[in-house]
Amino acid sequence: MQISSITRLSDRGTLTLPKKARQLLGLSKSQTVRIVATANKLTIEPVDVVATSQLRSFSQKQIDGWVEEDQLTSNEKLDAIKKLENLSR
Amino acid sequence: MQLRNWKIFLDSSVLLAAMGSKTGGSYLVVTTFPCLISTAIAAEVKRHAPKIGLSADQADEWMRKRVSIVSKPSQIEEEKFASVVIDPKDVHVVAAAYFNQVNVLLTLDKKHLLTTKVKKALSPIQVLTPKELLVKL
Repeated sequence: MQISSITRLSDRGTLTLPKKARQLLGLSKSQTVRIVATANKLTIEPVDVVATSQLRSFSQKQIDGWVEEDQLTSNEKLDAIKKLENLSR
Repeated sequence: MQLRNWKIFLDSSVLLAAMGSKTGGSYLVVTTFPCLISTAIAAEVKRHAPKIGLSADQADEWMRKRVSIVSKPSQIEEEKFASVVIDPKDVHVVAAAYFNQVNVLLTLDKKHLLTTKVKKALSPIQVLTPKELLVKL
């Protein structure tokens, strides 16, 4: 589906997006958009719309595996803390 | 550049591990270095929070206290890395690390992100596990 319309900039440079275009993209008040300007084209793209279908799914096993693999031995932890202390000096 | 000034982008795997355990490398890194995530990563973490015993709201609060949240990359930006990833749903992580000009992408996902292809595509950005980063200090 494509929506095409002609609109006019206000004195302050603000632009009202047509309702149909907002509805199509699910844009609501305070939505963040990215504006990309090239020589003769302006693209307005929602950037914070994260559809659930775009997100990854992780199993309980995967997450448990990450938590387990991430564990530090006492020596590794001591080593890392010493290095971090040196970095903050 | 000094390591303490590095910009670090976190994958969901690292955040979930950090929230799930205070005794891992992820927790140490996240609570020590200024880290960055995207809105997409935040949404993934909130979605999976119950699997580490937290509600979505608790996960949201945890992240807002500890990391900076930036916009998810645009579709055009993501397309640049479409051929690099095995699963198209991983592309937002790679694109976000690249377009936010970070020094390190931290992940625990060996199968999808700690791959030669991703490392090559993101170079000079380093793709590491939290443990690997701690060893490099």
